[in-house]
Amino acid sequence: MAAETPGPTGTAERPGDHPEELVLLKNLPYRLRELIPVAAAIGLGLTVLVLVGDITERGTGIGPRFWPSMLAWGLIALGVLLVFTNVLRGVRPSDIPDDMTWWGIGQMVLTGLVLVGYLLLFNVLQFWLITLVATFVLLVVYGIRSWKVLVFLPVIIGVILHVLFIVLLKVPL
Amino acid sequence: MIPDLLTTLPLMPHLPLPVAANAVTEGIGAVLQWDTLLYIGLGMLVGMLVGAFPGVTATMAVALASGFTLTMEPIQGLAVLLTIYVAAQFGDRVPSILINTPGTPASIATTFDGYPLAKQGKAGLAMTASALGSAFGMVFGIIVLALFGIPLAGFARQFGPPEMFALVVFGLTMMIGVSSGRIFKGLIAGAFGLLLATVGRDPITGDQRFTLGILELNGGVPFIPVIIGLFGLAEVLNQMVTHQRHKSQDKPINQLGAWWPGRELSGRLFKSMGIGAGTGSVVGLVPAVGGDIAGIISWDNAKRLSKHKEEFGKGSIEGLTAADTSSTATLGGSVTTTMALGVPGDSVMAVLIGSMMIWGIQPGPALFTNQPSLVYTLAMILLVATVLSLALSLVRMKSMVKLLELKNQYLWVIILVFCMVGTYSISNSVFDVFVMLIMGVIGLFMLRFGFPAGPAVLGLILGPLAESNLRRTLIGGGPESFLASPIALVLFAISAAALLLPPLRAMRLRRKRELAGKDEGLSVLIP
Repeated sequence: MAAETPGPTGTAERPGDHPEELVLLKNLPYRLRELIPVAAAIGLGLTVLVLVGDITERGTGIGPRFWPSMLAWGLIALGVLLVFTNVLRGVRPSDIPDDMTWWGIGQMVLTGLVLVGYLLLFNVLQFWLITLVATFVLLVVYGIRSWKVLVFLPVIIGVILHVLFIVLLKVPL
Repeated sequence: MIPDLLTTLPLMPHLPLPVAANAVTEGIGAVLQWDTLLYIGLGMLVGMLVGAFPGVTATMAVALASGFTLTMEPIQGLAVLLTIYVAAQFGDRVPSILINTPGTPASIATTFDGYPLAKQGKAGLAMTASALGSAFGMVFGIIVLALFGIPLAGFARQFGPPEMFALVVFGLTMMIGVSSGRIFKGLIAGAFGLLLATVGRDPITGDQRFTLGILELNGGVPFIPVIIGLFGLAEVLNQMVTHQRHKSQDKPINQLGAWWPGRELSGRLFKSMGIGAGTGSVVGLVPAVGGDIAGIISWDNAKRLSKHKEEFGKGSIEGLTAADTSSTATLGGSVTTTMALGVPGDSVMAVLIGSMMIWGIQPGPALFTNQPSLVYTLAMILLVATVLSLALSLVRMKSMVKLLELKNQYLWVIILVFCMVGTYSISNSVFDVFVMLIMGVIGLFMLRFGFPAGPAVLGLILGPLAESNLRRTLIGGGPESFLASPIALVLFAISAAALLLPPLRAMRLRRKRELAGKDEGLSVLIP
């Protein structure tokens, strides 16, 4: 297996090799970052165990609480195992994602606001109108400044969605 | 034997010949309707575009399309979704070859030799070989579906609760076992999906669980919004947060060179297609193992059997063809296990099962045995989609190069709006869209921290099946029921092997490398 392709972090990964075979990254920041998935798994497991108490149990034995409780204990156990495999031992290069950028995070937050606004206006204003405005605003947020794109793309998207969902599929929008 | 053959078809021994023949003609006839063919054409265009844009996976496209296909007739809806999947397998080779970026994960192995070939000025040849190999693989996969669909379903009909539970565990662990080595994170994702499936009414007693007083959750977490959120929105958000403002996109290679292979090269192509088709068909039958894995395995097999090993990884037309043939050959096997066992063959099939359940079709052993014509309907949809995709691939590839120059931001807008409207249209519910948005954020978290989304979706879909069969087994005969079932034991054994063997093999190899390193050190010290 001679060919090498760049991995997500720019490291070389050989096709066909199991990722576990790669050299593990021992840097402390990478390993500490893995405490977040550990906390998520254990936290979810504990939350489920608390919520399981609200489920009505009829008699003893294998009732509606059995399966969720089993899964919750499984999550906690797997979270603990992650401490050994990813925090204490090291992180595989392919587990390190591309860096986030402030520009990108800003775009995501603005996108969230636009989408929630778009959703709240469903059935309030004309669908084609809110779609036109939402797509225009999103394009501006993403840094598109070409007036042709800003005019034509929202119109094309609006027309396609209108024809597909309202005319053909009769969705009440 | 001869009288038997005269009165039954070998693949449908339980049916008399006229009934079996009727199933074949009925199945094929259902596809050869003008409206179904129209939907296949629509699916093909969408699939080709989806495949050609890096970052838009076939799973994402099928998830988005499921939003608007739910109101269609089941056959038409299946035609759209399956054709998107097939066409994406053709379209995704273009960016793999021209910009070294897989259009979908299924074409990862295409980059090994496709891009080096393009750099040598043989992009046209690479794309033709890839399209021919993909079509050959697909036809081989369809044969697998036609041959094994009904017998496999017939065998699985003998399964009781212990075997069904073992089968679900098998499907989940296979998907986790191939989750790029992230076994514990795959298991956590699977458990998360299984927990999501517990929301709503208990499958046996009907008691409410985890609904938090929200009326809409009484019927459970709606799975299409979850799927669209995890595969569609999360992927776009991830691209967004990692987007660098001033970084220009990769420019595709536009010198395509010759298009058709010569006689000598054609001979080598046929051999590679054979290797790819054989490997892909076998791999495809294993639930949850998709085209990406099959492509890599086949590339490796082709290299072992080639007389031109030195070309592999540097621009081997054999390596490219074997990988692409194999990744598409998995599709037939994948559809077979999905429909016959009810265990998704890959993440696209998990999405497909979600749509089918809304149409009132429950994939599983009873489906093919009760509706044998469906096997041939599916095979015919796949065949028509393959022929059309091949034709479009060979004719319009030059113009697809231009698509690669489109900015990602345009795609984000289109995908986001489709995620919103598509989710809303499932049951005209704003709540569903909020579920999709929340799952998009959870999906982003999963992507950033290495949790595969596939096992989560699989867990959500298979959760009720797993829970009800486990509890029935334990209530009925206790844990001994599992020990009394050889099928369940075999499935558990394979599942355990799928989880344990890769890390054990890795540990062994790592130790071997460390020892080799020590030996080298000693040989330097002791001349």
